[in-house]
Amino acid sequence: MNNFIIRRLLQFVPTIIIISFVIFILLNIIPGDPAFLCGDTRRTMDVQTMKMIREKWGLDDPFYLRYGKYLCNLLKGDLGISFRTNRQVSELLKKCFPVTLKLASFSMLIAILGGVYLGFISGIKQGSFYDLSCMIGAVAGVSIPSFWLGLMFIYLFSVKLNILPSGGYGGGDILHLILPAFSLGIAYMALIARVTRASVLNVMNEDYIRTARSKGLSEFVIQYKHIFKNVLIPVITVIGLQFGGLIAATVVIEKVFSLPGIGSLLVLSIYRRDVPVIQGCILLIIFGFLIINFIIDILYTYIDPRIRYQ
Amino acid sequence: MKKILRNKNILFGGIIIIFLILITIFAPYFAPYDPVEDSDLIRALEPSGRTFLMGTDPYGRDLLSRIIYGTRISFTLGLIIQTLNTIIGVSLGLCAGYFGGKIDDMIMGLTNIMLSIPTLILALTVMVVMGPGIINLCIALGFVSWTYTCRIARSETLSIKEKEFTEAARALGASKFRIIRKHILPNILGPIVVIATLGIGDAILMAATLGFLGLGVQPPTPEWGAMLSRGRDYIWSAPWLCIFPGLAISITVLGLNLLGDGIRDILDPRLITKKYKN
Repeated sequence: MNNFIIRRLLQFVPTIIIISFVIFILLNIIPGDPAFLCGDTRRTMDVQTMKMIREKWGLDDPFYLRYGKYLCNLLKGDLGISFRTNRQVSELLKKCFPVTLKLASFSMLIAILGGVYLGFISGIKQGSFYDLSCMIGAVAGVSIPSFWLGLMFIYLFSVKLNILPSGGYGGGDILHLILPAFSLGIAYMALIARVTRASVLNVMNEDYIRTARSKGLSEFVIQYKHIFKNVLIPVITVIGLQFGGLIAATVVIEKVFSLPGIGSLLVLSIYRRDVPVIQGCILLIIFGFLIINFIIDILYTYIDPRIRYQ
Repeated sequence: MKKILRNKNILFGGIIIIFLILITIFAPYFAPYDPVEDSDLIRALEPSGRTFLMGTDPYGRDLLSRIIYGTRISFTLGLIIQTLNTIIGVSLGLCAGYFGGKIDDMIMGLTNIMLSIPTLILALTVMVVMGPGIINLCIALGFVSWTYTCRIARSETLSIKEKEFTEAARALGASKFRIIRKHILPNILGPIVVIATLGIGDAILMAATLGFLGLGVQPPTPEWGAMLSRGRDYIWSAPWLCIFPGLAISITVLGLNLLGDGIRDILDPRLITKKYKN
């Protein structure tokens, strides 16, 4: 197990190097001169100033040299300096990261608790009115765009009922996260409910469930001890796969609710064409995605002792 | 045919999609006003009423007409993006599965790298490079979301490649290209059709998301995501600018999801067996 963890952690290095290379190439072929973006774009810059800026940022260096420098700095944890604000990218990310982390975790918690509960009960009560309503809700849930749901929540709970704030972070107040977390979590809740239900239906036909029933075990014990535990494996896989999408989706939700997270920083940097910050945000999101998948792999062994990594 | 009509998902999804296709084709006949040119600031932000069923936007344009024309844009975008990523995904999947070896390693390596980057983030990066616009949006989304199709095409090709009829074609001296085109491709189409149908909804959602972020289709073109983004500023005074475009996106994606689920039920015999088993 320890070997597996070390091997998986070591795999991060080439993955991050390749991804950083792809993103570096992509972002460095953006039309327009980055030197122009460093200064005040409203004023025309003289040739001397442009030359000075190009020298300062090493923009005249060949591509491979610039990437080499970037990679060396990246491995040291230095993500560069923002073209627009002149501040360290890591400093900007450090400020925004807790907001995104809180939002993503809160949304995922809502999605997991709601999705597993609804899907499990739906599967157990297959064909009932409850099952039908849940599944109609689940299909609708995966079809509604989260940013529209967010806007509708703002309209209902902030404009009409005036019980929850319509946006902003409020210094980390939980009330400010309720609407964004639900807007983001509902689509994933629907997806998890669908997978949980399908998994329950599969497990219910297994021989060991028939054996448990023939032993005369109570329905409660069968459902929670035999079905529930075995349902979790595919559900956890889906949660792991979807968490990356959820982290990415925070970009849109943060815009809807004006939350100062990584997503807002990314969108703002895209509008301003601030390449070092764009690179930093994207790498951080991808790194988060890789870490989540790693945790999911470790979790498998705890949930299903049959899985052993060599 | 009976099996298709008995499937509720296909029935409901089909009705929604046929209705939307009709709107797409006959948009000029359904729309009461021109979606771009017919603007008048005197009638700006008028709420729903007899003259304007869904109200007007800040430029006095009829929202209903813009949503009707938006159907045309979103559907076209969804179809083009999905066609592009199906062509890329199937071609790469077929090559990886059929030729194997280094070609397989290279294609699957690229697929795995792309899978480790969330699609929205990759699409955002490509859009930053290419700049906003309809054609750029199609290229960006078409080139970033082929990975799933590629994996399915590859695994299906791997199993079909070993079948007797492929062996027989090879023994008869058929060229590799002919075997892929005549024997493998027609046999992997079932699952590909399912993924492609389900993918159109995702493509429309993704295009709307990028439009909402201001990186997709640009105003004054009536695209639903961009309309929602503009409507966000007026949620306190003119909520209809947010309600109707979002409703249009949700109904379209719901129709496509239902249709995709239904087609999967019919084309994937494993799922049908499971259904009857339960």
